[in-house]
Amino acid sequence: MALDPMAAIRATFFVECEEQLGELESGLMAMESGAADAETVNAVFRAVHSIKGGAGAFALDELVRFAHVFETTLDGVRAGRLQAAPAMLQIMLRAADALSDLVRVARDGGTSDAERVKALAAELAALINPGSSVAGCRGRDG
Amino acid sequence: MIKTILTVDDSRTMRDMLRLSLENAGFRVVQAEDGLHGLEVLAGETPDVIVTDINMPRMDGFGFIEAVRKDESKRSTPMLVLTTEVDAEKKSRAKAAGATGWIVKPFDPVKLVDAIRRVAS
Repeated sequence: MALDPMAAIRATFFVECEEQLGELESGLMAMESGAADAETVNAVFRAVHSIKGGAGAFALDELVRFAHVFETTLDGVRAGRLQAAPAMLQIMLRAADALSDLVRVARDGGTSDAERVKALAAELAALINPGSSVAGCRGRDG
Repeated sequence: MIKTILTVDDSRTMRDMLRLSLENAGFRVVQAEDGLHGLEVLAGETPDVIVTDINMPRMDGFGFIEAVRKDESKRSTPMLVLTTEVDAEKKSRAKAAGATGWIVKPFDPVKLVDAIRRVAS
């Protein structure tokens, strides 16, 4: 299978995921310290968006679903509909950890902590749409 | 005659998938990593079709489409937008900027190739 081009692209995807997760974490930390500008917020959005795009190509549905909720909330910050308050950034940093776990499970196998992922997805969804459920926020292009 | 496709996407995963799908379909593929890089590539290439992502650093897909359309010689080059966004506002913004059509990621290689053949003919 070493010559299977899709296997090679899948490997590239996981390398790229690690880079995007690094961007995501450093961007969120810059936002937390107040050192972020519009491009930082854009880079954070793109990191999650890019993971979602690649995950979709490999039918990694759990990863796509969580990244979609995360991305929708980040889009709210990017568009100025949401203010990145400290409490929100704490949720986003925990969401970045959960996203990292989902990437690892997609790459290495095993199981993710489904309850934790579901609870975080609900917290993210509630930021952009108070009173919403996860199911209600699966979204416009889910 | 072999047709040349320019793909513009910041994700290596997507660039590799596009190259694989399009080369398998017999196209010549040239690639760029963002809108600005796309404009640099266009200085030396005249692709038959351009496929571009929207969310990219330095210059996004909207800016890239607008910049390409300002060039008289590329005003009629078909441009397909390839992105996970299906939001109506972004779609109409891409159309207004000069996009020819819209393909949602994750793309089906057969549909992508069909769409390219349709606009390239």
